[in-house]
Amino acid sequence: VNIKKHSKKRFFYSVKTKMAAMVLLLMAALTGVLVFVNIRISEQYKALQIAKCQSLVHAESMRINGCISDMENNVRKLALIGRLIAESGGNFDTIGKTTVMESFPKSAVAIGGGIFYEPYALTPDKKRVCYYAFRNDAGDMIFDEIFEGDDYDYLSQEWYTDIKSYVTIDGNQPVWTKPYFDKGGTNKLMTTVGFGIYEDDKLIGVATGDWVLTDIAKSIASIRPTENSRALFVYHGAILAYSDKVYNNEILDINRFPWFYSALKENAVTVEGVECFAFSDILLNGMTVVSIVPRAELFHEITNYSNTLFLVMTASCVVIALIVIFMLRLFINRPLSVLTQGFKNIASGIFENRIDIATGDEFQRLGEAVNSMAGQLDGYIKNLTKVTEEKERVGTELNVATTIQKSMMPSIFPLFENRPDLDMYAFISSAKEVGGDFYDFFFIDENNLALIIADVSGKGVPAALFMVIAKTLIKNSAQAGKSPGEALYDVNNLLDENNTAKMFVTCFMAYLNVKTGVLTCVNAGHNPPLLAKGGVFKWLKIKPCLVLAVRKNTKYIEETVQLQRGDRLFMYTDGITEAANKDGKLWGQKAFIESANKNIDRPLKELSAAVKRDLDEFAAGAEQSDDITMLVLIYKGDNQ
Amino acid sequence: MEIKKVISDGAALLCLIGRLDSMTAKTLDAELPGLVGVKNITLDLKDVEYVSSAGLRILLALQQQVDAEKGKLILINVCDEVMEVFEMTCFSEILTIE
Repeated sequence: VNIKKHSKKRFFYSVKTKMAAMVLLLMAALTGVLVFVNIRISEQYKALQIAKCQSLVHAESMRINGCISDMENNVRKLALIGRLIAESGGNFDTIGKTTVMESFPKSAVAIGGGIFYEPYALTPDKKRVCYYAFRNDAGDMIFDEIFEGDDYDYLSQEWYTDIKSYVTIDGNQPVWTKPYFDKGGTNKLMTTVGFGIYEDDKLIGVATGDWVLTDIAKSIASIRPTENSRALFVYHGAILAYSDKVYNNEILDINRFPWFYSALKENAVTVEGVECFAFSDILLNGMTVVSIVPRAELFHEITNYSNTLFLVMTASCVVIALIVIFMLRLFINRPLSVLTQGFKNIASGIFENRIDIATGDEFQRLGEAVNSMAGQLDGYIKNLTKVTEEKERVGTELNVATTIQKSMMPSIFPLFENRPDLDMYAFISSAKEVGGDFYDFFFIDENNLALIIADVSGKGVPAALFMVIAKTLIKNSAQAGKSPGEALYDVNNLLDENNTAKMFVTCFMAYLNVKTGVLTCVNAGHNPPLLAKGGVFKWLKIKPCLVLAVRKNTKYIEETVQLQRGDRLFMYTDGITEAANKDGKLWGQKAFIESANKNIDRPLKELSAAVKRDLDEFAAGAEQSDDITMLVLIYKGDNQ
Repeated sequence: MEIKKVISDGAALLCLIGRLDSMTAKTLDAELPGLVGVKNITLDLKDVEYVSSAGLRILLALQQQVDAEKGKLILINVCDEVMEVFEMTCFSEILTIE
């Protein structure tokens, strides 16, 4: 058996590696999907983080904007009251004082404020008229009379001139002063909003409100979405807060914050080499809030999460791959190697070994199938060996039988070399190893030669057995001195007994008296022989009798023919006349007698060979279906 | 060998078609058990052009089977070639040929 072997152990020649590769691919695909999903989630998370920062800044801005509006509304009302006081011309001192005391409740953003009139605007008696009140640290409203005194002279104060110079004609636009540190007063960082007080489009004074910025600055400085986030609070070109530090009106040095202006326009800046997000808002009164959030810090969590996820996935892949390889080794490699060994055993003819795989899966079933196959193969081969031995034995025995059967018929030619009065030749060819045809000849006494040719119905061993009996019986009868008719009468009766196989024998039997040339013959249903008298074969006209072994006490009638010197007798069996070619056509009596006549002058051996050759030519390779027997004789006796 | 068979009331008519030789004799042989108990059997040999010794053997067996039943076997429409065989073997003596 030629088994192709792969000399090189290639990677993919193992089922295990194939399956492990498949699992790894699957895991890789899964990881890919997870990474993709993670990226999407990260993006959304980042967007959410950015939005969160933005809303933090916006919320603070909104709150401060609310304060600004509150301040402006408050002071606008104060300005209105200031105008009304001027117009009413009544007891303005009481009204003014009450107004400023009541205008700034605890809920108000402003800690104080007042109404300041232009020189002599309210009364020609007084150059400076003003009402100012503030809430002290204890929370009580204090009416401050310092403002009216000569020592302060609000009219010449910078904040007053500033407001006055900025208020517009319509009086509705608030003016916000630069932030200032109220030394000696509140000692706090403050800003003031002012409105003009107009009477018939003429500015008669301003109303103010003071706002402490310290809390606002602190609140803005505390906008820190991440640890290292910074907030910058700029107002009127001054820094009020940076990072977590509150400044008291420090001039903005833009060189310190080169990113400041880009942070107002863009949302990504680089601060001290760190990539940051920038969130900015400009408030109603021009205050600017900028929040700087380091990008890495903002995304720290999600980045950590992604990295962890990736690590876990990779580790899982490796662990699962190892487990899979181990399991494949256990569940596939091991049973496969057991199966392979099992097949090798079978291939080398060992059937006793049984494959033991108890995995409960296809491998077990395959193993069981192989076991059953091995068992059956064992049986078949044993049986085959037995049958073959039997066949060989039968064949050997048949060979012996063939030899025995052949040796039963005289076969050493030329015969009767010491007899000038006779020449004979016999030919027999069995369709099987042993046949039913037979011929025989022997001298029963000095002058009488017995000639027998017969055909047992059927072929093979049954016919051969019957033939042996028939031949022996006939010879015994003849040698017992019986005439042909008597001999066949006896033989027929003997054969008919116990003829359960319903066989029969056709037989032509004759005694030739070589001295006188008289041929005494009986035909028991056999093909009539050819007789050549004067150089031409003709059918010997002889009355046929019933075949042997069919009916008891059948009479076999003898006839006699006188032979002359040179006469030829050609006895044969129906294997000749009924030889068939491949089309099933029979050679027939006519073709046979023609062939015999064509070769009549040849020596007997050549004559029979020529007839056989013609027969073979006709059969053209068709299988010989029946035994072929020829027995030819030339009478060379004295009888002329 | 083809056999057309009509069996009725203890009588059978078998039409044989083809050669009756050692190869085809089995077909007729197989019919024998089915004909046990049938007393009158007629074999129509109109389409039989050849009978070999194996065929003769089956005919003989059938004849003996019919004899045992004390029935009758009749062969009809026997052609010349087949008749020659019957005569040569003297089967014509034991078979009833019409």
